[in-house]
Amino acid sequence: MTRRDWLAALTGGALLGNQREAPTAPVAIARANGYDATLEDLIARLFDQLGGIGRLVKGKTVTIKLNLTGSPALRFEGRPLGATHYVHPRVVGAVVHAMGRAGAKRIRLVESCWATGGPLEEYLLDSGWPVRALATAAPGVEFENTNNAGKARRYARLKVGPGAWVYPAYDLNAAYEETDVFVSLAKLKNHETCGVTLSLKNCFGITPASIYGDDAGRDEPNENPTKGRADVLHFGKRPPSRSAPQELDPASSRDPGYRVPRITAELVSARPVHLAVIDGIQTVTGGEGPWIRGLKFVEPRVLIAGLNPVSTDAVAMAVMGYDPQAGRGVAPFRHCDNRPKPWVRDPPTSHASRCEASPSSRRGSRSPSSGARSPGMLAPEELVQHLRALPELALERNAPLAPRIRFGIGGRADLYIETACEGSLIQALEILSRAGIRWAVIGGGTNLVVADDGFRGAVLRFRGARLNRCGEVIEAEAGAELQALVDFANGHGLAGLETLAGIPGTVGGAVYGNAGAYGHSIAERVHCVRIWDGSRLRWLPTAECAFDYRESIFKRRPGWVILAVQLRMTAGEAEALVRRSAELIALRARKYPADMQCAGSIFKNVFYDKLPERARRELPPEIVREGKAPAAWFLEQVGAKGMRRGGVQVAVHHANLIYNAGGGTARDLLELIAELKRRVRERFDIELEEEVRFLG
Amino acid sequence: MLAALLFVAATGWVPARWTNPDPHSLELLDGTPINCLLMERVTAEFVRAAEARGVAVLRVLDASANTEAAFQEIVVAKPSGIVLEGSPGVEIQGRARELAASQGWRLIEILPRAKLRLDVRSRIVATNQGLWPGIRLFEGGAAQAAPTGGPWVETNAGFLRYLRAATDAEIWMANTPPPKTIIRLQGYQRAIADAATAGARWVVALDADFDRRLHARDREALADWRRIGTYLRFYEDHAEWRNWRPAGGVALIQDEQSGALLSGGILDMIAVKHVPVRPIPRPRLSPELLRGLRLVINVDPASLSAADKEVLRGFTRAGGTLLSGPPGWKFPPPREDTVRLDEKDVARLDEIWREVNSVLGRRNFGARLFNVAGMVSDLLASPDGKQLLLHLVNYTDYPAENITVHVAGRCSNARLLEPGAPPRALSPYEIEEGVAVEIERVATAAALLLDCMP
Repeated sequence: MTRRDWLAALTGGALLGNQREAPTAPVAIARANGYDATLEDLIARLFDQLGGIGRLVKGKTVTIKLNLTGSPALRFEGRPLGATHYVHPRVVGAVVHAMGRAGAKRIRLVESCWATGGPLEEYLLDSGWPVRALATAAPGVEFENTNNAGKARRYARLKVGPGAWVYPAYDLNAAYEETDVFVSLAKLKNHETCGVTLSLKNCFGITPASIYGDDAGRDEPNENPTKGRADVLHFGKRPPSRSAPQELDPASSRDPGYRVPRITAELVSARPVHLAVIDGIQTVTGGEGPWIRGLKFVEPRVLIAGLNPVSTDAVAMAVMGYDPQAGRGVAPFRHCDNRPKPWVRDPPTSHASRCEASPSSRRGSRSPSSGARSPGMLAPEELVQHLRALPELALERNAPLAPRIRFGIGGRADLYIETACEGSLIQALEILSRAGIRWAVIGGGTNLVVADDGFRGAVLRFRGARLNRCGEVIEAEAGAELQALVDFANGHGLAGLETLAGIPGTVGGAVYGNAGAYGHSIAERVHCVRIWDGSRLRWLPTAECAFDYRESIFKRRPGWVILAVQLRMTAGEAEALVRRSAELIALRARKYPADMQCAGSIFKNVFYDKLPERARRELPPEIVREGKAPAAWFLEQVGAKGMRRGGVQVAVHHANLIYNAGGGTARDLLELIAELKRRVRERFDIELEEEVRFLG
Repeated sequence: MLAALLFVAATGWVPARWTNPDPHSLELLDGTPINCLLMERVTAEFVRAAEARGVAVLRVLDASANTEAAFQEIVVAKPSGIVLEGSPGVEIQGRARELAASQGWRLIEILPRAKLRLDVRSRIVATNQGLWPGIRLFEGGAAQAAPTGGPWVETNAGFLRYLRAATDAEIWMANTPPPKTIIRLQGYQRAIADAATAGARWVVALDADFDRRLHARDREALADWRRIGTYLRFYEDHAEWRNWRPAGGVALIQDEQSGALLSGGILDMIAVKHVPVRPIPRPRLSPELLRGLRLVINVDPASLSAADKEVLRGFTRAGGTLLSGPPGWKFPPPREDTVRLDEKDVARLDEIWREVNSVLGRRNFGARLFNVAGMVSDLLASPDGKQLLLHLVNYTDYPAENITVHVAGRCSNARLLEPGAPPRALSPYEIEEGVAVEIERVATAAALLLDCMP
């Protein structure tokens, strides 16, 4: 959206006079399709549902704390900042306009801008904001960067009051004192340390870097700060400037998960919030800004407002699919305390009373319980509770998938579930299916590519890894490592799997893709496969598995889940089998180093008898093995070795090996794959087929 | 002196590396301004066909050339000139010079940066050592877990701007696309703009795959080729811009011994901050060149002659600010294999950069730009001083939107010129420091043209 669009809409918008009696301290939610011309109307309606803001702001000075996290130079996927991790300028404009219409005397937009003491207007221009339009959206609009003493050239000392943990008071830009009404205008998003960034956490940013910054003056404030606030506030590595109140207990925890929530609570106690507005129209999940890995863009399409920030954030968390009362270790509070409970037990705001959503506003918006099926929203709480009740099941929400797959790329899954209990896995699948939640079961993540946007739904991993032997038959659960199975067989003198040594991944994954090497594949030994077919458990005989080169029926039956496999082995000499496997592991390690972020071979080899004449003519016959021509040879002929797209590269030593050289994305990988396929197609008239599986 | 410094040949060859000796391939040049082909194999038939189209053909000789066969080919084909690229042997060089002189052919040397000779009267100064313009990716994995500043821009602009100030010759940047890398159309457009906005010409060079597809008349390749031609045409249609002088109130004194031939130095650092800066080659330092400046940065005080020091004393006496590098601070001498500052030099440069940054602050030295992370800009003034030109190049893969420019001084009309698009009139409005202009969108490159008022 350009400024021209914004201006046109701002000047064309109109307030609706839908006055109605609002409940005390309500929270209103509205559905918003985008940052378009209807926004002013929506904001006005939200405020009406809160009982109107006239009595709050008329003739008053209103200070609006914006949410502009991190440097404006840092964009996520090239999107405008307001569409990802900043509050959107159009929401700000609509709020300012509404305030002006309600009779506010002076409206001051404030933020402690990242690493600068320069004017807020310039910071906003650097963010691509329509500063001129904002300045004229209402009478008396001012801008103040609160990262230093600012225009007042003085600091105000705001006291926390009884029950402070970290600091007894904070020295802040005087704008936070010289106001009648304080508004927190925040973005609906996660926060790496604090779980969520909403109207409360937004207030962490009222602290000036001149005093609480990494380059704050030792004795006096540094009025030209150029750094963030991590050392002082997050980690407590150094004290704030001596001119400001010092820590109550310097021996207290230095863990950011302890400090940041408490400091946030203290700041809200010192500077109470009168009105909370949360922009959840477009945003990101997985963290507060692009410097966090696994971030993804989402469109919850909601605006939330309330007179009590605790109530408002609690409703916003429910919209996000979280339990606002969740404790440390439970998403989204994986790394932090959510128990600076004073704000729940004894809310520090002057307006806190009860939390209830306006019925009419709820009708106009997407309710949290349906969030799991709306784009970008997480699974509803009841569903999560049902899943968590299953035995031996671990569940993580908004879970990063990149660390769980060998490629090390990709976004997050709304839900990630692991269990070693077959019964729990099946029950979880049934719960998810009943709820209409999309799901996918993965193995060891060795042959998997996850989209940068992650997976909207649940990703499950079966960890059952038992191995049993009965004569020459081995029964292996799908979650067992393939290498563990090979070692087990070799150790018991059972031959037939030794050539699979060194192939990473699970037994289930190996059956799914009919893994193999050196002319052999696991299908040769499969007797039957235990599956869940969506309605019942059954053993599928090998004849029904439709095994082929890197193929099986399971690839065509996405609703089937492999749980175990029975393998029929032949008697062999344990020592020889172990030796053979060790040789192959050493050979494989040279080709696919263990620490390489890759999925093994990317493309399947090509059946010789399916090759077009053009390709056969060029292909050296001696490289054809077991009737297949190596895909690597074709790739090498088109210059694949060493080819690079972004952080993803074809190995210099092996043309069919693509790896994440660092910072690679799924987009890079897909572009590289497409380019390689195009080149091979054009030169040899062959359509290479990916061996890897795509998720998301 | 000033006139000599600013003089650059207004028109000249628009070069491209060409791999296809088939005369029919010349049809691909239709619609592009390319009129000079650098080839590693030439035939008389091709040369004649090219000359009939007004296209010059230059035979490239590099270190790998098979001398006898190459010279025989040249004698038979009679190209318009010879290009010595890299470091061909002394014998090849001698024979090439002799042949070119006897036939009246042009001889062009494409040299490593460290070997460039700016003090001789070459008509073309060329190097094949360049960065591929774009955004540098993080090495070694994840983005840093901190809300840090903007992306690191890879550009040859600083180096080329120094060359433009140091020589009157035409400048060719003859680097080729990085091997084994998928290059998108924007990559070529950036390479053209990166050189052209600094007054140079990029010697068009296509990656092997694109080259093959183009000559096979692949539909998509042809479409991209047309768009590349549009970019080349845009800067050739405004060839007069090469004669415009750098504007702004800051100057940087440099020479070949103080990092001017390397990329990623102070000139690039200041440019990325979008502070207009005039490069002044130390040998050309004069009171005239310092006129109108408010701040002069001299990174290597040890290299100044007594006369240079006197010029700078005069500047400071007249109220100018001089910022010098620390005493004894010296760049390593340029090396043949070096294109950019290494990390050690960058760390040393940080010492002076912090000071430069602090002095520059938020002052307006001609123009200030907002919301331009991932872009590089350059402010030029027309010879009569009646117009200002702000070059903008976007090095990211995404369009830049909602840019604001604050220009110091008074300007009336403003137009945005973009390759392949009609000029767009913008509406400047007054602000405290002069005028402001808002630009909605820049895809890869654009130029903002402002009419100044006295």
